[in-house]
Amino acid sequence: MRRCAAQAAVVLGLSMGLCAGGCAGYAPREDVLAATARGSFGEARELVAIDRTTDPGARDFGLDRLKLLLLSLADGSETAAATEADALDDLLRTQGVNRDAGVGTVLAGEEASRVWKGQPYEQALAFTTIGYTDALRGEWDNARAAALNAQILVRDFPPALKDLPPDADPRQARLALAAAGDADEPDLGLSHEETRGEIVPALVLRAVAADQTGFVEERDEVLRRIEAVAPDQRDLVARLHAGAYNALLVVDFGLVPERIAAGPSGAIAITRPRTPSDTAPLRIDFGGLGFSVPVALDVNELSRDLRWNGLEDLRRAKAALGSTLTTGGLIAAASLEDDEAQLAALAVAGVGAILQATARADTRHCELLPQRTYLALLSLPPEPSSLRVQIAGAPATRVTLPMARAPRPGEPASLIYVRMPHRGGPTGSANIIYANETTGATPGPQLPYILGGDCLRRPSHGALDDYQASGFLAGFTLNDLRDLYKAEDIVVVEGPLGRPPGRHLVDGGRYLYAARPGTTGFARLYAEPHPPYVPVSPAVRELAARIKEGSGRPPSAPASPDLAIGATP
Amino acid sequence: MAVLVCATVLACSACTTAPRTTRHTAADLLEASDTLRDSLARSVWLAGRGPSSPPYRLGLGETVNRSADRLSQAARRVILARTLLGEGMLDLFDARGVAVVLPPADAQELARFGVDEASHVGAYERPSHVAQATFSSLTRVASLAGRPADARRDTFLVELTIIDADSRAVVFTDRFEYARVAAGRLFD
Repeated sequence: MRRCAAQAAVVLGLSMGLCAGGCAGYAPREDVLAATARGSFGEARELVAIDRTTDPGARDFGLDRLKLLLLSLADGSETAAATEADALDDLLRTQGVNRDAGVGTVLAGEEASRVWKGQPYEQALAFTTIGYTDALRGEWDNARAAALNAQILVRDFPPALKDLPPDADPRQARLALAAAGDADEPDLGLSHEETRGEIVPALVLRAVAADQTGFVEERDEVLRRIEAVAPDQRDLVARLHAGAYNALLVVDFGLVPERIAAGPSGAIAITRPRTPSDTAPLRIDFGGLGFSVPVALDVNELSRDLRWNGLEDLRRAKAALGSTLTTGGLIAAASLEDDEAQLAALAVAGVGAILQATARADTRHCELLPQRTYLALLSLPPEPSSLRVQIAGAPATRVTLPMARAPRPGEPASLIYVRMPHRGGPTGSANIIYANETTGATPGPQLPYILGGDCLRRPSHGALDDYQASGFLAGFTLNDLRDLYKAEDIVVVEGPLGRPPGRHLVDGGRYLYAARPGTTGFARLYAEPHPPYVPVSPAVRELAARIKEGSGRPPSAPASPDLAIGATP
Repeated sequence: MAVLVCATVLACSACTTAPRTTRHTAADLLEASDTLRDSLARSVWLAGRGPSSPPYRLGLGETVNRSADRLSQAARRVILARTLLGEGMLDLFDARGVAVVLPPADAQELARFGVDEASHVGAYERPSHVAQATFSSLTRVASLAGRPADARRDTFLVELTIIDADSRAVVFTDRFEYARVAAGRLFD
């Protein structure tokens, strides 16, 4: 009797524990969402990096990689983005990752046992984002490979295209299926089903990449596909066909719909928009020209078209069985008089509760993917000019990228990636305020930002020469300059780090990195005013104070031995 | 019973050992490099030449990735350099009146990636011939009717081409082909 009671208690306790755990579900971090919404991508990346997984076999490895990739790309942190892209590509290209998760899925539920690869639409968008990262670095051939994999994944889903090569013309595919008796509408037009769920940005990326790498036939084939599935992109198609461009502009806005558990025991996964869909065009202005482009991709819609619910039947069956066992067990326990039988009934109810708890749908999703994407091909002028983008009727979404210019002769087309902040005000400006590696020194005296100046270049001989030509840091060596940053505990990012860089100095962080031009991060860092830096080390604080006071002494001359930069701890 | 156990064991071992990705591996690329190097060493282009032949200066040209697999620029350059510089090729080139020429920065970078021979090449001059590498692939995805695709085959082709820098004529070309097959649902 006592043993039975103990067993029943264990089962009930376990079931309650599982209920508590299983019912919790995936909860995106609100602070990450808020930082992303206002365009503080470095801050969001720092928050994601705090509890990121580094084990490639971990269940959330891919989810963390995709978040860090999106934030690094938006922030213009090229090296970090490339590192995440490589790791994510490895996972996405691995098949059957969850092949052995069947028993675990039944016993413990999806979220507790399955490695996250994302819904098919998330994977396709992940491949596309990897392609953006490659294109941003001028590696259009790798961008083509990434876009091609997005397409291979997507074409796995429309039933009309099953069993056909990934590059098959859908019209021919339809004819072939009709000839085989598998399709009852042998028309040459695309069906509704075939046109839905297509990732237009991946198609455009592939077409541009094919054009840039000399695949003319492939470019034309993909352009035909774009014309078929996205007739409103005809201007882009014409421009690409004519080769009248030197930059591909990608503008992402908003956040993907959230994935929530609904229905009995949360066994059904549904999506709920975070950013509402609309058809507002994007206004683009540069070099005295202005035009608008339509929405190229609405992820709210895509998430409904390109999803996989293969485990939903299992979850629903578990939920139904669990419900029956729980209800039956509890009724039996209440109606039976025999103690042991009551306990057995309670144990059955406990098992039912476990089944219900583990029937919950996996609601993990990459909440940082955009809700929509706009695309445009631009012919930037050779002389630098500002590029302004804004969603029609939404002035707060305005992003101004300074110093946009045509690639130099012999260079491939460039990719400009804008992640629009969707809360707060306009981003960037037409003027470079801070010296940086891409645009060089700004007009006027040059002095590091940490000493009260406007230079955000990393320590280098060139930067030091400029400081000294401006009358500062005379007698300093490059090592002395580096020591200033060390004294401030600032990480100067020159190459790949063991972990993604966190917030930039100007965002109140401890990292100094060069943002890639043609990104929102570049505009935020170098074309927006930032509060003055507040030194934390005595050496830098006193040196900055002396420079500010203009004490008459050369700024580099130590006032006392403890100010000798380089000897400072 | 014993047959059943054996079959189960075999099935399980097949499950665990089936490749799950069709991505290039380092071994694939090294094998391609070795094979193409052997082919170049035996090529007609080099066969009729000796130390007194008009000197050729062979430079490293473009590497293009036309495959469905992302491949870093550095990896491609290393494979091309290794093909031209590895396993006694410098001695062979010397004997055939061919000098491999690299800009110093390229030589340093290649040496950093483990192509030590790059630091032994001569002073840089404008190449008379340029070696190029192209990586291509053909992808096929298969599935049972009505089910998500669960098999993928990528047939890769690594092509080495040497062209005359002035006339753009192809003086040597050969290719190495290999296939990678993976099982398991593509999206899962």
